[in-house]
Amino acid sequence: MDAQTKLIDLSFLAEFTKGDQGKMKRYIEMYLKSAPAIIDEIQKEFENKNLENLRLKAHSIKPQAQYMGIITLKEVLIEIEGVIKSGNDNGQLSTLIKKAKAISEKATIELQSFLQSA
Amino acid sequence: MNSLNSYFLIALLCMATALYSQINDIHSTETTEVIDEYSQWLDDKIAVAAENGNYKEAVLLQENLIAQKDSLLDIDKRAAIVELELRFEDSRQQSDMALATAKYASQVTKMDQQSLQQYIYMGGGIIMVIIVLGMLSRLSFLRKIQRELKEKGMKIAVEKMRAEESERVREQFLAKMSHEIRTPMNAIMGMSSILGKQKHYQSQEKYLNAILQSSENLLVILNDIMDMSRLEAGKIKIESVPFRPVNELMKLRDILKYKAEGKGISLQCELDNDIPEVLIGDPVRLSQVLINLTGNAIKFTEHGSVHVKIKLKERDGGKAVIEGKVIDTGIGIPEHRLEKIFESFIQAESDTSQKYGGTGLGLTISKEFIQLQNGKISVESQPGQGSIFTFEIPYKIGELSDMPNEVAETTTVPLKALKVLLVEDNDFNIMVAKDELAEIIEDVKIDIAANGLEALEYVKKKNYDIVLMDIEMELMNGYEAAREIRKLPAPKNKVSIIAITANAMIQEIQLCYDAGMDDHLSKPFTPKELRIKIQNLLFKRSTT
Repeated sequence: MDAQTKLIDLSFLAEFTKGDQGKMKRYIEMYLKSAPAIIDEIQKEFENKNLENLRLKAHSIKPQAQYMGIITLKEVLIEIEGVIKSGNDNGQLSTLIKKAKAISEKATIELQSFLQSA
Repeated sequence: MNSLNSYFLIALLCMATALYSQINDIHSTETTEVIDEYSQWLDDKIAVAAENGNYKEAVLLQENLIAQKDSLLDIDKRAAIVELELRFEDSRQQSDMALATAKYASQVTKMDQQSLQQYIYMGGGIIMVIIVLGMLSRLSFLRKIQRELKEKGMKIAVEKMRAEESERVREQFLAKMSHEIRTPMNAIMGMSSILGKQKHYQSQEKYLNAILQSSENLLVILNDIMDMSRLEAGKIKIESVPFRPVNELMKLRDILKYKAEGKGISLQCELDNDIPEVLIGDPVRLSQVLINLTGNAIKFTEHGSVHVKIKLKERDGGKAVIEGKVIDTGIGIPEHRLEKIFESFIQAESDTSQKYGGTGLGLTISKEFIQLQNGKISVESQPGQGSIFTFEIPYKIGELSDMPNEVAETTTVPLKALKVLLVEDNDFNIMVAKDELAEIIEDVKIDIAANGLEALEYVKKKNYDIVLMDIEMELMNGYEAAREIRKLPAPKNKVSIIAITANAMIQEIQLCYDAGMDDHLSKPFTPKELRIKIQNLLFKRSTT
């Protein structure tokens, strides 16, 4: 992944909050509080082979990824859901979860940086 | 001519000069020699006379000699004069020659210039003649073409009239035939259907099904031919009305799900959340394209699945480009047939129509409909692997309030003091929903349930105006919760339920309605979208 490429796109959030910086900041803080933790839970559910819970958690953070404009994360989460629904994991689930975690970590740094500069 | 004269003159001058020179030379030499000889002879005579003492004769001879010498002197003088005259004449002639030469040179130059001018005039004249001839020829050609065009124009006008008349007759024929075929066809289909529902032998079942299937196929063919005919005649008009894409996709699934189930293949329809709730365009033509492509996909797939995906390709201001993909795991199309697959009466293989039926018009009609909506369509395929048909259509973005059955924004009363149950297990989503509810409903009362079970308990205990129901939850999902709520005694079971889904497939949205929910919203949604949905439901409830 290119280190220079921005993962987040806050234009939707800005539109959604009608440019209210306070509201934007609150949403970003909430995202940072909940989403990375859910990604960690996804990893644990995978290790425990609890795929249905894994799917529900992946499903639940899709809207958050969309609010923060992290489209790549949303797409990976959809893929994770698809693999579990198909019941046909040929090893790609592990790769997808690692990918989701990497994207989430990079996006977290970008969002923190945004909060510091705001 | 002048040049010839000049040469002739020069030649004459040269000849005269040479003649004069010869004459002069002869005259002077011979005269001097004769005189000298005569003087010598007289001298000798005088000497002889003097020796002989004949002095008288000597004196006479001496006088004669003197006279002769005087005469000779005179001759010499005249000769000198003549010589001078000759020299003068020679000089004059040379001068004349020089003048003549100079004149000749001048004349030659002048003549060269005149010749050049003459050549230019002659060349110019020839060119002019050629141009005039060319122009005359061109004029004649143009007149001929004009005549021919006029004749052709008349022929075309006549042909056009004939074609228009023929087109009118064809349309009348098709309209008449369409009506004439549809009427008995409907009768056949209706009666077959009634027969199928009545008591009949098991062995008759397959014949009844075959009659129904054949009638349906015939109706499809008839519709295709009618559409193609209207397209060719330019009679298809593209509407511009507000519609909800989700409804079109649900309609597609309703129409084709039994066909897919009958073949044992799965049909999945997916609508991207980013797609605006309302678009402005032609829903009928979109629906026809989707039904054509998906129907084909099901027809040519024996095992596996057919997946319909609708996503937002571009969004720019008030416009959106929608991309539709119909992906199947069917027989596929050979590479050499890919380019022709959108042509009329062309199918994947020459024996395809025999094996699978159909006219090969469906893709042509779909392409035409898409192009009429300023869109485009393409196909990728691998024989034995399946095909992916991708189309794009640009639409204007509408509002829910544009929908004729929706509540107009301006006429709705403000939302006030409503009681809302929010069923959601994600903290972030809860925060967003609470913010939105607080923004659109004055003095809103919100309870939060983390799953379906909790929601059911809340509804049993309290009365709510609206339930916002997430679907994917642990312990009890939204479908089950809705079904359980609808089982409760009135008026608890009448509560309005709006499903809130994240990237749900169309079948999942359909399941929401099947479970008894009233409407559906995709996350993320705007406060405005939520407000219109709530207003709409409250309006409907108040009018029933």
